[in-house]
Amino acid sequence: MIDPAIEFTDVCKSFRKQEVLRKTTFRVERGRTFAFLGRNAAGKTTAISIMMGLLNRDSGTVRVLGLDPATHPVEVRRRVGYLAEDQTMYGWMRCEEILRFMAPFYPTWDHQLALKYAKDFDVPLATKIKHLSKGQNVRLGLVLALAHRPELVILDDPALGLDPIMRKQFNRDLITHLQGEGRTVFYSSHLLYEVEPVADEIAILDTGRIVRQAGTEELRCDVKQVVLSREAAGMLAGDVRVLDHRPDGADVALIVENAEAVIQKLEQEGIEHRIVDLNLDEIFEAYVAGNRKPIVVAQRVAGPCDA
Amino acid sequence: MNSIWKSLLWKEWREQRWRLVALTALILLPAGWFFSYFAAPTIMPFTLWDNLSILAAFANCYIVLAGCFLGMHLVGGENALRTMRFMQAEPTAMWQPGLVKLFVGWFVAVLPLVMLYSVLCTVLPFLIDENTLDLAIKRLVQQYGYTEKNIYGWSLHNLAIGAFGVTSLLLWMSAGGVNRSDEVRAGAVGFLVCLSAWMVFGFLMVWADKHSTFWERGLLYLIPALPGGPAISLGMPVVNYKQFITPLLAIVGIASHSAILYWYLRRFGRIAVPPKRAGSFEFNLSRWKHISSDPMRSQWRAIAWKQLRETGPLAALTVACILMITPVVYWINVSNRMEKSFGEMLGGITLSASFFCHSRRGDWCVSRRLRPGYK
Repeated sequence: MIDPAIEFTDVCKSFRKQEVLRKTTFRVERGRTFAFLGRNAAGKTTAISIMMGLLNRDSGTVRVLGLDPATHPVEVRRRVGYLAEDQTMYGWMRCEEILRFMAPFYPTWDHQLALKYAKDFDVPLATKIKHLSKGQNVRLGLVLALAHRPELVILDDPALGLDPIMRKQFNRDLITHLQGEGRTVFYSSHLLYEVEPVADEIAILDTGRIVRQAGTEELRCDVKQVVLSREAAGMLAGDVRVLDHRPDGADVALIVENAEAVIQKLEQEGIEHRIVDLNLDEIFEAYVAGNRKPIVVAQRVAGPCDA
Repeated sequence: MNSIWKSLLWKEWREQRWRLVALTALILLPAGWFFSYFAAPTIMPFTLWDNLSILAAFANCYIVLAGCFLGMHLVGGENALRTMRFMQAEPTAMWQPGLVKLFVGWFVAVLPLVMLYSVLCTVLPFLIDENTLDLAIKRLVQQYGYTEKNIYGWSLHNLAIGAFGVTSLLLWMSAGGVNRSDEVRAGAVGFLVCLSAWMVFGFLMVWADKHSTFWERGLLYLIPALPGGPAISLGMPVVNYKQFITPLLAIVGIASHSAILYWYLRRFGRIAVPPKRAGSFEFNLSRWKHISSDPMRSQWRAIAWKQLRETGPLAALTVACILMITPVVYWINVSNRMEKSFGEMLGGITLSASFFCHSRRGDWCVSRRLRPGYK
């Protein structure tokens, strides 16, 4: 049996009294592009730091490529390509110098491949890093993360601070060079539309807990918005998991999990409803910022206008 | 670059070579003064012996300056530039970059001294007749109790003192300031650690002086373990050579500094999250935020307030240090029946502390504010 690329089981991590990861559990299979989503300060970077052996967990087990990063940090880093959030490299080095500098750290470093990637990603080799634009800096980071042919690539909010065109270009590069080669990619982000086109699987992290992990298509099919009357919504709320609800004119728009079963139930009971497909951004918002308060079924009081 | 060591050495050399230039320029100043004695002997007021003494004294000051300057940059630089995270993510144990940093720092500190004394040894015999030079050296060695007979021995001895002193101070400063968020903090903490070590030693000596001659003599064997102590202890057996067991001094020095090196290597780069506040030199004074939340009406007031917030804590720390150190030193002197007025001592300590404070502050202004990306 092949080990998963990453396995997190009941991982907890606190900084003094602040609990950042709370029994976080997820699994990334090899060859998949895994989107790790969460709001700012949800614990994404902490989880990645634990994977890279840069932080020690308080409890739980972690396996990266079959190794425990707490006991084999150097071995894990050799086999993983890592692009940190807002990565700051040595500004005084030229791009080609940093490629040569990094080479000895990785036994599998392929310098020809590094130069090829640099050319593909339009990285100006003769320019000093401090003179690179934000986009060039990120792309240089990607070259460094890929040139040793890692089995697993961990990208921590790589497109942070890039403009929309740059982000698209970055994702295009990612698809071309990583998914084409069948590598495992762990892509952390708080921008869902950014990972939507590239992710095979998604995990949503909220205040240190994984609130949902599923395939991208499965998630789209499973979470939908149902618009129905307040009374019907009140009846339904007790039986299904409602992630979010908000008024929609006289009706209520519910975002529900297990949409297929909910729709079946509504049809069986003959309740009038309307189904709205959601994009991943809306699904993410429902999980991390959804209104979970009980639905108030307001009684209409006859006013003077009704007369 | 075909090995990790070579790669790290290259990086460190590229980062520290300008510090070598700065330190060489620093040591060139007294050297320039010294050689101007030969260029314009009628103008120079001092004798050859005076000039050699001044040069040697400055070389000893250089030990402190180079040790502090390099120590703070070695251990605070990566965090200040926010490159520590990148370094940590490289597949190598953190003690390797830590060791290379220290080695290159040591090389950068010692090389100007080697150059200075090499030039002296090479050039002086050509400039001065042998008898005059030997006489000056003889007077020097008699004054300080050394045993060297000629310029070569004297230079070698001074070089050894410099190298030992710089190595020790660099180690203490690095170990004390390791993992601080910027150079200023690293320098301040490192310096305080060094100062505290000497203060503790001073207290122990005063205590031992009053209670036991055995302990007093025994405590002197701790000198090689103190910051810069190996340099001082190098002269001890010479001055009182029958009173000290030289191998024991060496063992204490080597063992203590090895332990400090081990501590530094164990700690270097082992920080959970590099401090994000590295870009702003500001102590947390949130508890004393001014009560009024009205916006400041005057630009001058705003600038003055900002400056006070940035420099106030360092100034307060300096004043506190002066007030703490002066009575202690005065008390030690009085206990040892050494003549020195309190005012004179306060002045001396204030000057030294102010120099330290200004150098730290100046270094911060130059190295941080002119840096691209300063926020």
